[in-house]
Amino acid sequence: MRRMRFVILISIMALVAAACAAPDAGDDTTTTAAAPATTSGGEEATATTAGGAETTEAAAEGCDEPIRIGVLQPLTGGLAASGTDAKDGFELYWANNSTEIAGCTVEFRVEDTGGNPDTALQKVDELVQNYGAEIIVGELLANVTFALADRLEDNEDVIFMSPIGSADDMTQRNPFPNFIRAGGWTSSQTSHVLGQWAYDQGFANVASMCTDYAFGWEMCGGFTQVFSEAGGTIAPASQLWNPLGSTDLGTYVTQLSGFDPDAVFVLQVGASVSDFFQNWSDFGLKEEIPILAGEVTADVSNIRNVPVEQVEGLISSGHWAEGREAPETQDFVELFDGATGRLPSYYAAATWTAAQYIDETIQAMNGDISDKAAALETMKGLELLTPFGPSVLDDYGNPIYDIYIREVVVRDDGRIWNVVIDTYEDVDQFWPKTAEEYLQQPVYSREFQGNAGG
Amino acid sequence: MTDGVKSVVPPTSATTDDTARSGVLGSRWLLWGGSIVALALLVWWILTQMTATAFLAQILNGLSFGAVLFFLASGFTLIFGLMRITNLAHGGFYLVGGYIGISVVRATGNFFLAMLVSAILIMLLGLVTERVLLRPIRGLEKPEVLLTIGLTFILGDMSLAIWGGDPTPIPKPDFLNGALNMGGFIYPRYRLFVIACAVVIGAILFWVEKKTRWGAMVRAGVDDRETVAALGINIKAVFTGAFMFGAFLAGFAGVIGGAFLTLLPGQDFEVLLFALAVVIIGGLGSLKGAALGVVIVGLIDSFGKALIPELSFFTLFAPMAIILVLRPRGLLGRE
Amino acid sequence: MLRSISLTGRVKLGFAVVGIALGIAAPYIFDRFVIGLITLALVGGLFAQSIDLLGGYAGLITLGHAGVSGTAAYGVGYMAAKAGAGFPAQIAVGFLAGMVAALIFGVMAMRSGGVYFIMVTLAQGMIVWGLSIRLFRITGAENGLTGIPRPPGVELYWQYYYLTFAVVVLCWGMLGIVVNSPFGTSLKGLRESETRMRMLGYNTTGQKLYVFLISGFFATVSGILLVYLNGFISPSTVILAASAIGVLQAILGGIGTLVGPMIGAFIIVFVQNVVSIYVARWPTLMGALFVVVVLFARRGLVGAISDGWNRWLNRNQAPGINEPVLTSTNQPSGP
Repeated sequence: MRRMRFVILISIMALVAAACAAPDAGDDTTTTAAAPATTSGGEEATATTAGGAETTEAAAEGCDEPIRIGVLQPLTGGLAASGTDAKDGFELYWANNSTEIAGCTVEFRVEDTGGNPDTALQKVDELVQNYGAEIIVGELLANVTFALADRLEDNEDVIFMSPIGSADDMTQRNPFPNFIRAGGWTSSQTSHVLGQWAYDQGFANVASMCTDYAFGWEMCGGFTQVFSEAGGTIAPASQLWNPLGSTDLGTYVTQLSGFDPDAVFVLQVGASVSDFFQNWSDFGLKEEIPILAGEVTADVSNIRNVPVEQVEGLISSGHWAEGREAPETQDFVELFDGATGRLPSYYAAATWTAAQYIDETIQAMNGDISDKAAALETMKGLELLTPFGPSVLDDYGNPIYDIYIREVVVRDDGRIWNVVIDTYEDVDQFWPKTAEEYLQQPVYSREFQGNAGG
Repeated sequence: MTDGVKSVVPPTSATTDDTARSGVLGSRWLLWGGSIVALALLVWWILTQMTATAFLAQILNGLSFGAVLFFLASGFTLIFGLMRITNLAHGGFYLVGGYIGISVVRATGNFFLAMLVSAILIMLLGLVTERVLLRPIRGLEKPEVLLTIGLTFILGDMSLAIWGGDPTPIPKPDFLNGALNMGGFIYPRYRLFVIACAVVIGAILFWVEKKTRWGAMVRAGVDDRETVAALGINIKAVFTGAFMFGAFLAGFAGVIGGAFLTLLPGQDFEVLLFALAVVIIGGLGSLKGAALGVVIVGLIDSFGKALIPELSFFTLFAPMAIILVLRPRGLLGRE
Repeated sequence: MLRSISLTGRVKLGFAVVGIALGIAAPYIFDRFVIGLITLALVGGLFAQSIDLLGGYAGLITLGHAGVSGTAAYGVGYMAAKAGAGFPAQIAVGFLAGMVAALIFGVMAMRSGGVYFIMVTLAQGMIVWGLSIRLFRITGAENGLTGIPRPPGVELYWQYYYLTFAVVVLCWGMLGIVVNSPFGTSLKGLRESETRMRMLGYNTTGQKLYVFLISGFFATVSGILLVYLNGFISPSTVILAASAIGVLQAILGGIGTLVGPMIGAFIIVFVQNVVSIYVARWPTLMGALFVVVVLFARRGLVGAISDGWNRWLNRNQAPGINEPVLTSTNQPSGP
């Protein structure tokens, strides 16, 4: 009985407390004087005015506050390798370029999300409120990217850059105002090109095997739509979808061979990449049916440890090709290889490029990026030569790149990389359609792949 | 269900479970007959969906995946049956075993040496785990859960620190690469090798369990631990031995599975989940149950993926839930 | 003896008053980040308490509870992001969804016990996770649902904190009433021995269903709080790890108490979100924490504190035995 009374007491006290506390504080908000979070000035209503005033002042005097950048990537768990590549690429840029730009110092902090949106949301608050980050360079997982974009949407003091998270609609049908994909890409952007290339090579009947989630639908849809609209056949019945993280892809590989296609478009991620190539070669199919891979599936980060004979000659498309001969690419590749002992994945190139965009934007704005809308416009106006090649941004904040058809070859030192065998210049996210035409169709999903039956 | 039980006073309570459940299921004959008819109909339906060759290939796919799980599940079920420890670190043992295998293969190029070295090192890890960590909390279920998950976190994160997070398959010996052509039926050699390994090891395990003194001690320990201890057998040594043997199999599975399913951080929990499904469906603590479980899980997995790919998220867990609702102790689990 | 209880009671009351005072003062002391963490920990703590009601009091550990709270969260998310409904409809649908999930889970699991109960709930949780990825039109699949605004009046972070604080304290009180009621006492009987309870005339199956529904109610509340806190929901919220973390929080803090899960939640949220800023290998640290707690405080942190307190009280007597909080009696017993 005693405990029960005690418990009731607590609840009553809590109710009273809540009832009293909220209106009090609510009254304070209107005057912006004594809102609870006085220590950080982090309360939404006051933050805008206070922060704005501070930075304008700083600009007048030069730059006594450093420009701070927060980087969020998964550094533990299943995506740790990719997240670490992204972190290394970003750090490498600032190790090789001055952090003193136009009288301002650039500082950054990289934090681990563990691939978990809950954690990412807490950390982005910490980076923005406590660390004072003005630019957030975001995650590689699509769901975490969505969560972050949603959280930062109303914050006019922060630019959210997503060089890796590639969900189509973030720069298409569902754009976020302060979101920009400098150094990034949309999922279907690179596979559109592969669809055209495959048709031009004379493949008539293609099957597909893609991971069953938004990224897989978009990559696969990009290929399927352009390939079928060019005149190729990719029947809905010969499109296989395996769940994300499926263990043992033998079943699917057995089914694929049953379709007897001219080629197979494949999009796998993580452990499923080597699982797929292992099965493909073990079932004796490597010499029989050519594979056309989505960008990530042929990325060095996924095929580094796969036995060479299983992937040699693999064709894919991508905005990144570490074997591209141009100096802007090779300089970066050599730097990254020298620093980490690995050939850079697109994750590394992407965050390096994001850093390059930040650097150039600060220079162009002479150190004052306090007006975030202006900074975004400046960034969109830049024409840069990046490790990806020439890069400009479209009106939606997504890059227009050269997209490469790539082949996996063995280097002199025995490692494998992707070299360019064909280039499609200035490809935007809607290619080959116009934005108006493209945006009328729904985003790619399992139901909508853009083929005749789908 | 419980209404009739009120008047039953004598503490022969375990049997009330049996009567209650057999009432729900009806007679044993009906169960077996129904299962066989259902199975026959299922096979007939599957054969209308795919060619006989594809059918055979899918059976082998399921069995080879099941075979990898068998090494894990048999150790897991042995440990549970004997000690009632739900060893959630079993997946961690698998992952570290696989990574050790990679290091050995890279250093020596010998796949079979890697199997041996991994299995032995993981066995020693099992020894330390059992003696130092688990012994002080013997019989306390919840602390055991926390401890073995904690251990999995440590093993997984340390593997990430040491071996990096890139997806890595273990290179196989050359003669196991590629496919075997058996009169027009083409099938990967490595998968056949894995199935053969499981059959051989399974046969040895059954023989040991039935025919040797060691097996008799284990069986007695599973049935009635107190009596075994009273008979003067050092039950603690039996426990340690069983735990080490379970770990040995997990390390072995790491190398066999690593060459097949690819190693990646996080896979510790994934294979653990499959192993749990196997032992739960088969019936915890029973080697026969584990063997039956791997066949069922393997076949469900492969045919589920092939026939109803939209539902392949559920093809493992929906049957598992249904089996547990109908037979709360698994198919061969004792009440 | 009486005197010692009243002293303990007074100390507890003191802690409660200090806790509530701190809770009310927190937004005036801490910055937005810390308040965000506290809010997250309170929501996680409520979720862990709902698991603890099943696991600690009734002895039924669940590994699928994120399926219940997640279904509620998806209910809110769907109504907000896809259907564009108002807040009353969002909350009503979220609540209904969570309770229906709890009912289905409970009916399926009520005949199981011990490790089999863990496995049925695990399978159920995996099915919800599978659905969250599969039902693209409702759940937005992997990308999840964005654009879930908070109700008017609690839009700002500290307003939402006060709401969460009040709801959690209220739920805590309700949980206190439940566990101290005759029903709560009968749950402890269920934990100690289901068979004995059945012989005493209790309908244990029904009891399990009731407790699942009550636990599901609090899980539902935590799910609704979480979705408005984050303004976002994706399959990560219903994944197995989310359920497992709730169980770990409860065991870490002290299962079988109400304050334990809350303490566990604060610790794990702190490690995940703050320690991980400074320590790259934080999963190892967290794993080590679990191991150390198990080895040195079997009954969790609260258990250790109350043992120490009781030792201090009884320092002239032989070390007293407190209420056994952790027992292993929910294992299958005997032949």
